Formats: sequence, structure tokens, C-alpha cells
Amino acid sequence: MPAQSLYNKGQRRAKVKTLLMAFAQDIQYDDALIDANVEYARDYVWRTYVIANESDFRKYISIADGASLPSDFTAYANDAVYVNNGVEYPLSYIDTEEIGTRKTNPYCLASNTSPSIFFENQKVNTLPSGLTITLGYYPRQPKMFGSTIPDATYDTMPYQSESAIHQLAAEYTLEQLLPEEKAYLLTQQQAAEVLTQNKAFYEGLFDNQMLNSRTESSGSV
Amino acid sequence: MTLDNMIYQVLIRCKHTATAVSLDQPTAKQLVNKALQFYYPIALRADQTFYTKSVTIAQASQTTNEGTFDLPTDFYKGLLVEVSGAKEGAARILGHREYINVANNPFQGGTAANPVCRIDTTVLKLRPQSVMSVTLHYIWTFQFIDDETTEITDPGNGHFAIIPWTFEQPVILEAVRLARLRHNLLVDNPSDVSKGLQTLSDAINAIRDANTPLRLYGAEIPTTS
Repeated sequence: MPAQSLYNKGQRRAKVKTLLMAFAQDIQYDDALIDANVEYARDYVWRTYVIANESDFRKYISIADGASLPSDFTAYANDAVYVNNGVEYPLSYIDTEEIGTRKTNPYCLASNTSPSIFFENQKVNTLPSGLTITLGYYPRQPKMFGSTIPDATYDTMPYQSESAIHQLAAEYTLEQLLPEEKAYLLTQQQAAEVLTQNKAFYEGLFDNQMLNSRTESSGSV
Repeated sequence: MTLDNMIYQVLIRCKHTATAVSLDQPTAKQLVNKALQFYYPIALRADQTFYTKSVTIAQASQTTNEGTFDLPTDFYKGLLVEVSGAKEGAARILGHREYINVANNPFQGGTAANPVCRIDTTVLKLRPQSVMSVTLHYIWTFQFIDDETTEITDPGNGHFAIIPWTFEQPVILEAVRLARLRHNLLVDNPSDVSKGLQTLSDAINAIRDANTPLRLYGAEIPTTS
């Protein structure tokens, strides 16, 4: 994991304000709006970093079959392990359509030494049922806006991501000050940019998983 | 983030512009809902498991050779119909024409070992009629969200989020865009006529794109709104 940014929520807001002052010194900016834009800018940069090096942002938890996905869940990292008699067995990910087969077909029946994982009802599901597993996933970074979140809140973004986050947050905030027509065009452009990047994120996750996953490379099932 | 917070995010982004004049809270709610509907198929393509759900349903009625099951109200598309005792653990989901052809041919299906089913608007029809209960795995969808406490982007804790959190900002931006678009249309100025026509055509395109039939497998995730 690279060295982390030293900016917390309040410091990021102060930095963005400093950048905004260069454009329009008379404007009273809403702290709440800057905080929201800092979070969205941070998420944008985060998605880029995840694709670049997913292992920096992967997280593991112990979770039981049927439990709700953690509240910071973004996507499965294609890495889940069940320990049976001291031996690790990776869970193979299956599509919904394969559940019936995996439960009944004697030639591909899920077992403690060949378990499967799937996601439904926004919960973790294992076959055979009832397993407690170690689940790898990409967690959402801490939330940065809302009255209950203190200024001392840190996220885990790398040091070198700082300026990208602050500049993007300033750009998002500046949009508010533009005349109606320009604001409309900029909003449209921003939405398109975020969506393009979101697409790259989900497709990139898929590519990463194909290349890096323990499940794919170990081949122990 | 709840619907209430989402509306708030839209309102503060319009505060310093003329849009605020014509944007009230109920209108913002309508616009957030429109944005959610717009992003639903896109989010579905990005992460199908987010919208996958299972439920056990009991047979509602039967004829001599066919059972009928009521589909859940949030049903969008069927993925798997688990039937206890069936080979492969599930009934084959067939198109209506294939279902009729297969239904009366015991060599092809419609038996306890090889059940077949079809999805008809609001019901699931299944042969044989002796199957009293199935577990339906399906893709769910949502209707207009009126309750402002509804959780939109935070999954977990036993409740359903409406859309993955990665779409939170796009949804807000889309609602803001719609608010501004709506404001542009309200301005009665000759020089705005062509602008109005353009925005109308944008709106029509957006609706057409959003309603393009889904291809869930191998489909491109659209990049522009």
C-alpha cells in the first residue's frame, strides 16, 4: 500500500476552498456542497486507482452464508476462501443460472472441498449452504459528507492522489457559479465523464479479476 | 443515501442559478426518480448481481396439467426456477411457443424430473401441476419512489438499496441536468426556441435509449447520457 494522503475531511475542504478563492473571492461557498463534491471527486479518483492496482484496495472480512453484504461493499474481488480441516479452498463464483445444477448434479455438486459463491438479495450466498468464509471485496471509501461525519475523518487514498482530488472537487463546485446555459452543458459533460469512468471501472474490475484472482490461478478445485 | 438526501443534493446544486426559481421539492423528487429510472438499465448491465433476488412462491392455482404461480410485484426478468426433485434442480424456462410444443411431449419435458415453465406477464406457468412450490431467482426493479426515507445507495443491513453507490453522483447530476433542462424550456424567449427543440430531442433520445430492449449478456455499458 503506498503512503497515504495526510489530508482529512476538513483539510480537503480547506484546500478546495483555497483553489476556489483563485476564481471568485466574493462567493460564499457552502461547506456541505464542497464536502459532497470532495467525496465524489475522491470516488472518481479512487475508481481510477483501483483499476490501476486493485490489490491496494482489496479488503477481507469473515462472513457467513446468508449475511448481508457489508455496507461499504462495491464489488466482489473474485477472492473468497473457505477453510476446511485446516486447508484453504477457494470458492468458485457461479452465475444464478448455475445454482440448481451445483446443488443437484452429482458430477458438479458443491462440497466443502469444492464450494461455490454467488450474490443474491444483496447478501453473500455459499454452496453448500451455511459456510463461513473469508470474502475479498473492494470497499467504498469512508463517507465525507453529512452532518454526523467529523472533519477529522480520513480516507485511505494514496498521497499522490491529493491534487487530482482537490482540483476535481473544485471543478465540480465551480459549476454552481456558472450561468444557466453553461452550467447545463457542464453538468451534462460531467455526468458523461463519470459514466464513462464508471464503465471503465466495472470492465477493469473484470479484467483484473481474470488476471489476478487466486481462484483462477490456484486451480485447486 | 436516502431519497431525501438525494433531493437535497439536487437542490443545493441549483441554488445559485436561475433553476432554483422553478425547482421545488416535489419536482426535485420527480426528477430524481426519472434519473433513477434512466440509470437502472445501465447499473443492471454494470453489476447484475445487485439486482438479483430469490423468493419461494407457492402455487396459486392449477389445471389438470399446469400450475400457476403469481410473480412478485418487483419482478423484471426470470433467471432460474428451482424445483425440488427436478434433475439439474430447476425447471427449464421456455419461450411461449417452445413451451406449448414441449408441454405435451413427455420425452421433452413437463414431468416431475424435467419440469418446464414459461413467464406470462404477471404469472409463471409450470408443468407438471404437481409442483406446489418453487424458488424463483429473478432480476428485480422498482417503481416511482415516493417515500423520502427510502434508502437509495447503501446496501447491507438487511435492506435493499435501489442503485449501486457508484451511480449516486451520476443520478444527482442527471437530476440537476433535467432541472436545468426544464428551466430552459420554461424561458419564453425566441432565441431559446432552437435550444428548446434541441433539449426536447435530447429528452426523446434519452427516453428511447433507456427503453432499448436489454441484452444482458455481452452488452456494452452505454457511456453517455
